[in-house]
Amino acid sequence: MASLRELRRKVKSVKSTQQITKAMKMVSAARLRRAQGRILSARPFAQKMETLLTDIFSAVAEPGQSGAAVRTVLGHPLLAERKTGPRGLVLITADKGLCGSFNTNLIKRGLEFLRENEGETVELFCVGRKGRDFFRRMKVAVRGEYVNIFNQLSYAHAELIGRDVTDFFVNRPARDVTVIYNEFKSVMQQRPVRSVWLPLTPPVPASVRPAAPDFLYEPARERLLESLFPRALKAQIFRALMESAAAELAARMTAMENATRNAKELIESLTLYANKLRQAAITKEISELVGGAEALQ
Amino acid sequence: MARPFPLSVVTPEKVSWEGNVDSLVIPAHEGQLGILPGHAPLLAQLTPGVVRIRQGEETRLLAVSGGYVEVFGGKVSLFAETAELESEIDAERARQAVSKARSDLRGGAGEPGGSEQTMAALRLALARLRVADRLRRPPPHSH
Repeated sequence: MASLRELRRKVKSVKSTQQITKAMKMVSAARLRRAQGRILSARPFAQKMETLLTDIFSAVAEPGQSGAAVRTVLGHPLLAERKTGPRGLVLITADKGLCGSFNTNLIKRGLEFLRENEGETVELFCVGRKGRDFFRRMKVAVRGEYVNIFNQLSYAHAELIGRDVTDFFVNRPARDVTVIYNEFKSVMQQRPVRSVWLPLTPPVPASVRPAAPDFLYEPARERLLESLFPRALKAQIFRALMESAAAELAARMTAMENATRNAKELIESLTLYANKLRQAAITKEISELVGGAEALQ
Repeated sequence: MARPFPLSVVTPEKVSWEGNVDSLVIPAHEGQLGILPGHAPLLAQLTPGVVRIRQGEETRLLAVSGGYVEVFGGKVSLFAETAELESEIDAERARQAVSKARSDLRGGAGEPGGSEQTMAALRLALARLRVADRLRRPPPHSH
């Protein structure tokens, strides 16, 4: 049985842990708000790139052509479909822990992917320290790693990753590049998603051509379209990075809230127990005193 | 005189500048391109360089790294990976980038496609320098 003093010491240590988790929760909440703001302010650019891509693509592609036909017409290296070659996997985890099952879920999905493709070459790109550390410990070769980027996330990171992934896809050449990351659904909900970055899926040409005003294009539309594809990829990467950053903060916030609540419960039950012990000790002392006094009479 | 038109400068991270302008000159794919009020609808690709924005007497310079300009419905939108005003540029870093890109080009030990990237980096760094350097010169019209 724990002594009273031990119990009190335990309560004190749980209390200081609670202070830390509470502070972490507040910090995450503040940073989450900022991260959400950044996702919003990044939207105009991403939306514009998408509409540009669809509009020009619809103008270039003959209506009624299938996707595959359009693909061969364009012949852009980022659209190339291959049956062979290594596969790429980009795993976006967090740099830090203490965010619930955020990283474990991702790593599990990453392992699943490796298992599905057993016997084939899978080359791994790890974004975030946690994923990289895990696969390093597992002695899995990591082709590209990008750690410590989430503190100061900027478009430059998306460009860097985009360049490496493109180089891998075009020059290796690889069959495809898949990404696994946590999508920010809401503050309470993060969902690991898996999607294919490369080859790019060409946009569906609008069946009705946009009421195209007599736009001047410089350079020609086909050249413009070519320059849009790499940008579309980078915009996708940037979005995934920002979503993951927001999801990480949301996960940490929830985890720390739970931790704070658990600490509170623990403190309550420990305090109750300590009080009971104290009572018992007092009662014991009184009865000893009374017993002693009676023995004297 | 024609009325000023709205211009918005959008980067992947945010809408970085908005305002009504009288004219602007952009480094388009096939050379400098001036846009005045009432310009025909246009979609042009940008190369790394300097965008000049004129607002009345004032001229602003903006270093861009490439992107697109769209003129449509009397509005101009500029989409660029990076777009920096004078105040946002670190001249010292740009100078270093210029000398690094120059020595890379001289060395010529680039992988295929590498020199193209170096050229783009050089152009961007030079554009930054041009934008930043104007800040240190005394303004032409002192009030």
